Amino acid sequence: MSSRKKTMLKVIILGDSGVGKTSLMQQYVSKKFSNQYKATIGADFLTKQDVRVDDRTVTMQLWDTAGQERFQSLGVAFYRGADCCVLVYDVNNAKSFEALDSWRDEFLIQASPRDPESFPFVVLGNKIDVEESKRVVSQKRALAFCQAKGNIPYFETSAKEAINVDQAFEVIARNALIQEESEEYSSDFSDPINIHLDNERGGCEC
Amino acid sequence: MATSTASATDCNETCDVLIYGTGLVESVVAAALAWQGTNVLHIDSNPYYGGAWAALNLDELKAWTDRVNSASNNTPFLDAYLYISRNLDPRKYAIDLSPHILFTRSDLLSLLIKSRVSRYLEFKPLGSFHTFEQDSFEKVPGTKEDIFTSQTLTLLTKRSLMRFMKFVIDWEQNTTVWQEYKDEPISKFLEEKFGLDVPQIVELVHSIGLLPTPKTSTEVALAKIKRYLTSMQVYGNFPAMYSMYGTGGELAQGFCRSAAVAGAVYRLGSKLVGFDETTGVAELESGEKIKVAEKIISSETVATQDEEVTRMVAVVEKDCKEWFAEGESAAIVVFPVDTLDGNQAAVQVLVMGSGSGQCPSGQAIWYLSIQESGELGRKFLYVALEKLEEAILRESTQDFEFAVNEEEIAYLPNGLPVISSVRLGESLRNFTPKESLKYLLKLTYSQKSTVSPIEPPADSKLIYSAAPCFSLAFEDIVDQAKGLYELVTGTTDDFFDVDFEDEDDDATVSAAAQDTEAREFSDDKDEDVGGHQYDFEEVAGEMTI
Ligand SMILES: Cc1cc2nc3c(=O)[nH]c(=O)nc-3n(C[C@H](O)[C@H](O)[C@H](O)COP(=O)(O)OP(=O)(O)OC[C@H]3O[C@@H](n4cnc5c(N)ncnc54)[C@H](O)[C@@H]3O)c2cc1C
Ligand SMILES: Nc1nc2c(ncn2[C@@H]2O[C@H](COP(=O)(O)OP(=O)(O)OP(=O)(O)O)[C@@H](O)[C@H]2O)c(=O)[nH]1
Ligand SMILES: [Mg+2]
Repeated sequence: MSSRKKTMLKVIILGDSGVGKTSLMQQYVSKKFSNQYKATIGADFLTKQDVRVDDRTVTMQLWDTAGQERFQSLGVAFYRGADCCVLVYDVNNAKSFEALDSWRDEFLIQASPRDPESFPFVVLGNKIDVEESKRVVSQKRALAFCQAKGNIPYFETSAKEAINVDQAFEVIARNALIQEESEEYSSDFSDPINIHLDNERGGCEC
Repeated sequence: MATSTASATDCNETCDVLIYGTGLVESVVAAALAWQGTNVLHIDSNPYYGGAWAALNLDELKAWTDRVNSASNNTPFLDAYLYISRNLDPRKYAIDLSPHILFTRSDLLSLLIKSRVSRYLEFKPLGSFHTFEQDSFEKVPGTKEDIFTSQTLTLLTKRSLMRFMKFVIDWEQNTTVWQEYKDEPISKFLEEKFGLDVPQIVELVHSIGLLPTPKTSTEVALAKIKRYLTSMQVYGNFPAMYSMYGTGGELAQGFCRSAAVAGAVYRLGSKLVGFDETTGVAELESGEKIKVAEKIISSETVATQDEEVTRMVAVVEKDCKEWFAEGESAAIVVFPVDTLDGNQAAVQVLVMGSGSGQCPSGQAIWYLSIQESGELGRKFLYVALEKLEEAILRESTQDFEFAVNEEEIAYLPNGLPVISSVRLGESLRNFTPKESLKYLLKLTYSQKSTVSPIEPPADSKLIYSAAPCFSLAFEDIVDQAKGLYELVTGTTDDFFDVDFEDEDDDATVSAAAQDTEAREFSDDKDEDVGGHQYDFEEVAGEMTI
């Protein structure tokens, strides 16, 4: 029945300020990177179309936090309907790693997914291009965290050098799609109205 | 996360406009100002967005009830009684404090599209409008085809209704028809000018117009009736929609996100405790001080005694699918005046199924309201609740059998059979169900209209926004937001005059959809309006009425 339906996956990206959330999204969607840091305002969500996941084509909506997280004021609407949650920290910043747990808790509380145990998270340790001597969070420590939280997939990335970014988002897309499909079958599903399509006016669903 | 010291000092500085309260109107203003370049700080004393427009989970709802009943109540609500049965998962519910629906042709929807806030939201259709009459629910004939296939209307009534519908589509131009009835009750106008009978008047006034009483003035009522009719077929076979998880609160959050994208700073859980007009310094409960360069917009108004709506929310252990149209998860049921032991205003019920994201599957939420105060209002709501209960038990029962005779079936022009609703209603009425209905939550409360606590002088830095409107459909939101915007900027010319630099053209395409005139009823032009809309003569010819 839903073969005509376009699959739209909502992915939200959380993590402390400055860890590279916006940079990772930019790198993945537009293959761009800027060295200038400007705490995110003006970022909304980025849409990546025609993402291949096995034999499926999906559209990914990557939601940035728009600055509302600065005073813990994201609001529940931001989390709603997310299909995957990406947790980002900076491997050169211990505090950003320690915050991952509370970001994850916050997500589970606010989004309250139907089945919290199986909800897909992906952890990204970013900025691995920075010189080794500055690194404070070891891969071992990060992997131990991910394992303890139910085997969360883990990637070490660099938004700057485009290391592992595509690989990470491939897994994000795949896991988001699995999540989307499981939700669809368990809920009273009906399509939302597409208010952006003029030509479907009056079209019936038969 | 809790220690963002750098940002805290940040905010301890200045802003152009401080907005207190994240209700819908304030949120629209915040976004409009932020996109215009104003430096906005937007705060709310609650830990959630939406203020009086919010949809709350059950933990938040309990805290809200306590606050409303406390001496320090600063909301437009009062007298809240809450009953919650044990073992409900608080996070699986979103109880809408001021439930509203959105007509598909309205200034608010146009703004949602233009501002691109609609991209944050998931809209669902609402096409079932029922009128309660003589113990059964009649589905409202809201389109021409409904009128023609209706089994209960006489040919004469059908003609009169058609004549009225053609008139009302551009009633503003046809002043000669209604001018002398301008301030007269709409019921009088419909009866005298169009010869409509009571049942049709009741439906037009209460279900299509969503008006509380047939005494509403003709001028006001015609606009409301037209709103429904021009909204049909904009996006499908329904005139209205709602946003998942509670419409007002979600819309407010969408506008807040938009404001944040444009640079507005957000702080929930921040109470404003003082403001000095002369220095322009506002003080938060935390002790932080903010220098406000231009204005403070506050939603902290006081309730008046003049007008009141009484509300009831009931979560029932029934999915209520019987009342929804195919593929939908919501319905409206209206109890007209004088159907509930002498009610002088209609009781409006918004039924939300689990597809609305407001409750788990197998349950539904009934939002009842009446523009009648306290004790009396509650009495009518309880009578209505009882009728709803009887109706859903009857209609959802498994052990009810109903034989259909061939002559009770009519066929639509497209060949689909319909059963006479009169016959169905009669049989259902005589049936007594064995089960009883389980209420998982019941909440009653009142809501007042509000005014400014003081009359601020013309050059005051402090201005006030109003509480949510009583009507079931959003009304005046955009106008109120523009009014506040004008008080700050001196003009509304650049209200959301934003050139979004994105390459996608979504916004322009859909704005065009809004501009297209409703064609359905302007049938003399005989335009191409798609396959499933019937022309008057054609249908009349095929049907033997
Ligand atoms: C709004 C509301 C709805 C309820 N609905 C149910 C229900 O459906 N099923 C159930 O098992 N229990 C329900 N209860 C709980 C039950 O009626 C009483 O709370 C319980 O009997 C405890 O009585 P009490 O002596 O502590 O309080 P009471 O002194 O009986 O009541 C406390 C206050 O709540 C108000 N109140 C009590 N019951 C109701 C009611 N049914 N409707 C509106 N106001 C009421 C009273 O007017 C009073 O102001 C409801 C309670 C409330 C407040
Ligand atoms: N060396 C290096 N720098 C990076 C990398 N990713 C991001 N940066 C830099 O880190 C800074 C912050 O990156 P952003 O992407 O803005 O971080 P953010 O998480 O979006 O920050 P907020 O929006 O404030 O929450 C910028 O100066 C980036 O150039 C990376 O992989 N390597
Ligand atoms: Mg960012």
